Amino acid sequence: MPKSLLYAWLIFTPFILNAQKDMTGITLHFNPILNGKPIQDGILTGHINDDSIAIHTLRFYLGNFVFYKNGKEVGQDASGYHLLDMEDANTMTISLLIAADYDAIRFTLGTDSLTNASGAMGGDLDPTKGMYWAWNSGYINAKIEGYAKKCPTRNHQFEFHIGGYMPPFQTVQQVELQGIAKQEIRVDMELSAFFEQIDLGVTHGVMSPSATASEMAKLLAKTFRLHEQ
Amino acid sequence: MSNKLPLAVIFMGIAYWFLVAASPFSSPDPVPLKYPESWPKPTYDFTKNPLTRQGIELGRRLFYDPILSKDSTVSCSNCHLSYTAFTHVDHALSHGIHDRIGTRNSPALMNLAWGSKFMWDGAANHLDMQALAPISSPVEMDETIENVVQKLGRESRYKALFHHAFGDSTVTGERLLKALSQFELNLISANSKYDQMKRGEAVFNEQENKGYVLFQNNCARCHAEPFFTNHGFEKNGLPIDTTLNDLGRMAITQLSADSLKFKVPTLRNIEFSHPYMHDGRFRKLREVLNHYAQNKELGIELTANEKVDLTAFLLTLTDKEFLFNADFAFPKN
Repeated sequence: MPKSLLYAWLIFTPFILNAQKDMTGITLHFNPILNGKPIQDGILTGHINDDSIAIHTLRFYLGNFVFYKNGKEVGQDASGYHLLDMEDANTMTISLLIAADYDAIRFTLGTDSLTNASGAMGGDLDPTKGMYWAWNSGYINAKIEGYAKKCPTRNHQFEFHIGGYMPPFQTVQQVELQGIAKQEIRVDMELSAFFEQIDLGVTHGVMSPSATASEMAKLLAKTFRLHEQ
Repeated sequence: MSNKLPLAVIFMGIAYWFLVAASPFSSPDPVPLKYPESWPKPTYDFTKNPLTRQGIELGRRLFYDPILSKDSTVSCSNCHLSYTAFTHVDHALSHGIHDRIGTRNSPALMNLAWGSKFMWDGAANHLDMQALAPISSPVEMDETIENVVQKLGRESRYKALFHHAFGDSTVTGERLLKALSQFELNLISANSKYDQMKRGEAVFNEQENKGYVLFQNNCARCHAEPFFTNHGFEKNGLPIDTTLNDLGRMAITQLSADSLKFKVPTLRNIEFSHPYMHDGRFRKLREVLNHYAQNKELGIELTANEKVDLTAFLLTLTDKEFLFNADFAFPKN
């Protein structure tokens, strides 16, 4: 019996050691908020620009995670794009492995142009995820939908499908989080930074690549920030 | 006793090999894309979607199956019939579900591995993604890819076909689109009299030769050999149809310079792909040539005799082996 245990130890130990070698993980929890208020019953509500806003859909792609230490790149993640969906809490947490010490992380909000023009893809990029345009090829990098009293639309709905990869209306954005000291961090997305800049009485529907969509992508990228402890 | 554990490990390894690694699923059979040596390399990236016998077969079943539409009445082949160069013969504007009529003439399908933008306005940036447009169009199939994937996943025959093509029976949007691409990529037309003449297997008569010279001098800039399209977008002098107000490429690029530009269609099998132009406004080749000859801006001058010669050349682009290829037609079994 001890001999057989020895065999098992000899066979499996190298695999176990290899898996643990120098790998540190990071878990990022993305937490959408509106005026500091978290999601309640699946909806974000708040008062912005003298308007009552309710957001029921927030879906977006994150990817191309790159890690930095003292301003220098120390590693990249190769797990591809992640589709985050406010309605599915599991998707709002991303765990990545990195074989280095880091203090900052950069990632893209949205998909790059190569991904948009490379044909059918699977996983979170599968076109069944509802994030691909049929009539104008390309991914919808972010969907934001909800209601606002000022919207002069049916049921006061607003619908922003933000995408576009061809110049001059690209929508992919870089986001950087600095001062990361822990392996498990909370990232708030304060959507008031987005809605404060939009007059929902005028702009309530974006469905194709445009200057407005590009501007909205920039605004959405500004909503990310490390949660204050 | 002490030897039993290693023996068990070895036994489990052997069992794993037989059960999983060497399961009844054998890898799909690779199929090389056959095309003339003189043609350039395809633009389609086959490393991401290697052609296989089983993949092409699955794609063919999907292409001919109305399950892709909302009420299972319309398949791809409704507007892309194999015997008419995979276009919708006789219909200026193609019709789809519930006889709803679209705004364009369905394009002929062939030699798609060399294309980079698809549809009359280039809306689809990749062959894989093109099928999303007709599936979701309310006047074509009026369905969603999510629903199609669910419907296929409930059908045991499709589960088996996906298993054969991709190694397991899971139906995904990616696999559905890639299988359709495989069938479409396989539609190669390269055996017309023109192709045979190029290979030294056939000889043009005098009229066809004259027509070929006229073609090279007047048409080949856009309808470039050997695909008889430069795969670009051009304005060919057609006045806008005010019942459609179709601005073409501009709708995609939002550039005013692209107003009224449409994709240059291939001329291969043009004898069978009528009616012509993006809105099918011309029923006869004669009308097409008259349009080009009458438009002064295009600088194409053709006498009546020259039109006849040019038509004789255009008819050499008919590839009956392609048109009546049983492997491309409705799967009978």
